[in-house]
Amino acid sequence: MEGGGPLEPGLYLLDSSSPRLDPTNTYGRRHLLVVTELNLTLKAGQREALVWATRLDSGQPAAGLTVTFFEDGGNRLGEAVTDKDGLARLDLGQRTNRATVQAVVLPNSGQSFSAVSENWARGVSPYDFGWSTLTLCPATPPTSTPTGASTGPAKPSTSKAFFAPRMT
Amino acid sequence: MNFRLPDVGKVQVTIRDAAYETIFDQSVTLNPNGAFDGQIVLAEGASLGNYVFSASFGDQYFEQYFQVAAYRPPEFEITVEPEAAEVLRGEDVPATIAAKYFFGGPLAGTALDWNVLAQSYRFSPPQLGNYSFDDADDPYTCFDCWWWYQPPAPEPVMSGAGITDAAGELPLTLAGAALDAALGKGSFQLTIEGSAFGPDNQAIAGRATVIVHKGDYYIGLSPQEYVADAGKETAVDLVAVDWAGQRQANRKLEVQIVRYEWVNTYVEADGGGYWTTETKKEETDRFTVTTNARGEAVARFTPPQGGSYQIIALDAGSPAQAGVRSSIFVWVAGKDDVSWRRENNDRLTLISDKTGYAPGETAEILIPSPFEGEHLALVTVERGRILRREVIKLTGSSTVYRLPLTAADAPNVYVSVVLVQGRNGPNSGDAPRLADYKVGILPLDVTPSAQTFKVTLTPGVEQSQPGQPVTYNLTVTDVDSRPVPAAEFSLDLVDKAVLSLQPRPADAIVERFYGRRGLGISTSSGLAVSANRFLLELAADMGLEQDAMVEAQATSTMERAAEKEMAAGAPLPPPMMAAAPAMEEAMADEGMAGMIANKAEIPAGVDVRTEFSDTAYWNPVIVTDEKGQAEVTVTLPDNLTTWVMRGVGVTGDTRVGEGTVELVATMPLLIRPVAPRFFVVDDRAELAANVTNNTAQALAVEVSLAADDGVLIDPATPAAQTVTVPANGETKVTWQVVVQDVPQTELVFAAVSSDGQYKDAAKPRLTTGPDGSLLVLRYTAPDTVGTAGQLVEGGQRSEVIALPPGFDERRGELTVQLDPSLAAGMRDGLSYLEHYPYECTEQTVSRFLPNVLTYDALKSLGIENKELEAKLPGLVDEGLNKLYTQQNPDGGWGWWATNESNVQVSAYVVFALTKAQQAGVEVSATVLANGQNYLTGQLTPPGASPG
Repeated sequence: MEGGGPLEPGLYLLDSSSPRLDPTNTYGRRHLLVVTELNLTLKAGQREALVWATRLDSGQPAAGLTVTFFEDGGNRLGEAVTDKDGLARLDLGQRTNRATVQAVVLPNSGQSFSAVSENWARGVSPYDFGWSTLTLCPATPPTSTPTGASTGPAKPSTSKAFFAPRMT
Repeated sequence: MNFRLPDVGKVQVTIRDAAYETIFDQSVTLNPNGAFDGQIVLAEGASLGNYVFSASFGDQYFEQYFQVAAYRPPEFEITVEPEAAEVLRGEDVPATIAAKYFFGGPLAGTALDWNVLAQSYRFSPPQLGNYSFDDADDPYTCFDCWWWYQPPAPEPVMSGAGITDAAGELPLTLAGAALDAALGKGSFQLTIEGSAFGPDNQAIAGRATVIVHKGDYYIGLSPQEYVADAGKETAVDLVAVDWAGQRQANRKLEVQIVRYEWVNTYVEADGGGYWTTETKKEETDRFTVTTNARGEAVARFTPPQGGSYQIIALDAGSPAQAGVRSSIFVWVAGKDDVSWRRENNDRLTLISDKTGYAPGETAEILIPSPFEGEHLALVTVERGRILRREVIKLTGSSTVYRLPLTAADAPNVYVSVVLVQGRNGPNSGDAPRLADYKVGILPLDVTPSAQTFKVTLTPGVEQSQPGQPVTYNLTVTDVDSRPVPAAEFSLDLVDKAVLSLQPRPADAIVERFYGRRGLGISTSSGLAVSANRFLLELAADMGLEQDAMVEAQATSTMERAAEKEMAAGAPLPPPMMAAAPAMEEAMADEGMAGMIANKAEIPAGVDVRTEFSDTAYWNPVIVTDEKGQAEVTVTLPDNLTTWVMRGVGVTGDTRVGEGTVELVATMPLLIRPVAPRFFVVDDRAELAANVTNNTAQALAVEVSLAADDGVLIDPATPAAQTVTVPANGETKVTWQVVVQDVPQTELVFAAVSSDGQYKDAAKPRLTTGPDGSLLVLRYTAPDTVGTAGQLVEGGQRSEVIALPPGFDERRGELTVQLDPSLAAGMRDGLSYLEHYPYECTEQTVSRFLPNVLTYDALKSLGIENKELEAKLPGLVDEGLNKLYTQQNPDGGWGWWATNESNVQVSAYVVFALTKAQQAGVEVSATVLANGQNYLTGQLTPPGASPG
């Protein structure tokens, strides 16, 4: 936008260049920029996702928004509509992976664009609170002999198995 | 937390041994409670180590390990009981070490060694995970980094010895002053260990731990920003808690701010130089703060210049609290430094009135919101899923949220609070108007009382004797003391001596079903990567007008476009039995006649204990009746020990529970043989028996050893000896014996009181021969001799075979093999080659070449052998493929696949490939040609020097 000024809500690509920068290396020079009037708080697990939509100006809930959920790779998980509290929940069923979840409010029917990714958690991840998180993953048989490695204790659950993540 | 049974009907059960070989693989049917049972018998000589037990259905897979070991159960146990589990540095540590037989009774007058190991102890209450309670002088030490922090190994700090008293106990006091001098700085975990040799010459140890705290309470530090700016105020949150993690109000804390600087100097030296580093410390500030009602305080300071700052917090109230000290490091960027982005501090510390709750209780959670005025909070209760959610309105900075907890919340939940504030809302101070958010997560434990039941096992007698039937009553009640019918139990009765070797965790089934669960839910927000907030920070870093950086409407979030590169020994043979030398020769030894005469018989009317078992009873399915009860009767084996009956139960609605009870099996007068597991011919050994008198009066006891002809007893130690065994004491009786050349021998040790009232007899518990006998082994060297010849016509031929001197006719064998041709005789050799563990190229050829030549010979001689004809092509192909893959790019072969080419090895391979080609095997022309080219290139012209 020439001459500056506020951007309309939407998804932008911010690119920068300089004679002093290597033109073949775009790392750090390009950013996706979400311009929005809505803040999305995302809570994501293996089997469900919850979005809390609030307005950035008033801090009040944004009701009636259709939120579309995706996971890494662009796989569309489904959509849900925010209630009076700004909450939209999507049951992910028996999802067999723990791919990162993204939630997007698409600019349809006049609603403002917004987005959030599960990894936008700077400083507030479980690790930052001093705990390691235990993820839920589908249990799979070992692919090799267990010599020198342990899968950790298996913990039964309602329908899936809990496994401590393998760490090397 | 609740479970439901999978609707699968069957599960696949697999058991793999220590070598990961499958020894059991079967589909088993689940009963209505989702349980199954079965058994396997381990083969003689089964591999020792960890076995893997797995069960799978659908895409689900579970596994567990169990250990197979060779062991000898101990007769006694050592226990260490400290008076207190936690003490303050400088305090004495009293403890009692006790040595007691599993069959009851002390080891009086026994020499005990004790030692104390110390290892650093990290105080880290789970509900305060974002605080550090450590105290380190090195900013590069990361206690919270699992990839960095290695717990130090325990170091011995004290040791000593003593003799147990009449009760088998050794009271011990670790002097506080001596202990304090032996320990380094900080808190420690002590391991007090006692060990003793029992009358059976077995060394047994026991241990317990004691925490030695460095102070009465701990101070936790949590920087509000790990990277601060020189000349600008920064803050560190403090919290004071006692050993149990309870917050301590009104604690006066002294805070010291110390700047670290490292001066690196290059020191010139002969032949080069080296760097030395000197640490300079400068105190830049010192002040006191007092903890509030929540045990919290904030230390604010302004670092004057860049560098690393140690923030030290210590007790300022009393000299006696000198040990109360914690510290943490904060990096400060100076004006001349590259200013890197500050760490986010959007965390909110939630505070609960307790850390653990019973179902039905209400947790009171303080939300110390930093936002003023009315704002919203999303409160969620999480554990793998979002169990509950609620948006609430906060009007102040100290809202108490009340969360009723139910049985479904067991075993634990995480309470998450997300606060948001719009940019139009009230802001504190003159901060620019930006939308803001905070996140707090608080773990709460909830007792799984509704998911578990109480298991009570009661034996029908207080004490029993070996071989006696004992009835056990099982009673199961729920949290409201109501009976639990239809609960399915497995009952096992195991010798406690075995359990002392490999203790099993108590309530394992409760922990497995209802142990603490992970969070499993992530929280993220667009505000976490808000460009406006970054701009605000940048403005602060650059000293710019902050309001100018804030657009009233243009609130945006950005995500860094991820670049692809960013996204992106075979066991020793057992000794063999040997031919018995003529007994008459042995009899000629001086004194042998006396030995033969020195015999004793098993006393009449004495039952010999021969049935020893580690597991006396196991029943996988016992179901409680409508009263929640069940009953079993078990006949105890002949062990003298403490038996542990365990019941592990589950219901169809997955309530679980475990209970144990101990029962001592002993006798008024008992004898415990001390003998090896086997003998070797001509052994001169000392056998012994420990005779224990559990009565209140001394007893005259005839102790005898009844041995068969395999063991002769020295007349100096009569086969039957009369000794006095003190009341509640024991006496050891010994025999010197000579072992004869027999396959096995049988020993029976007996003790009979002089009045005949008390008696006992037993064979050794751990033996190697049949029916409780001891094998008598003889070491011999195997010798294999072979010969071959050719028969050119029919008729009879004689071949004389001379047996070597000293030949053991019980072990030898003669094999005569007649083959129609020499080629047919090669078959056994090929079989051997097939199983040879080939590794290098030479070995591959040495397998491949004979196979090729035999294949050729079989065909050219017309010998029919269908098995070989079926096998050989596969073996030849396998060798061929190996040689193809082992060929180097230059066409040659090295000794190993990764080695450079070697002329001799390459010539050997080319020779073998050529022979294979001649035998009609299809050989890659390219591989062969490349190999030949390599060899040709290695040829040295006459007169030239080798390359």
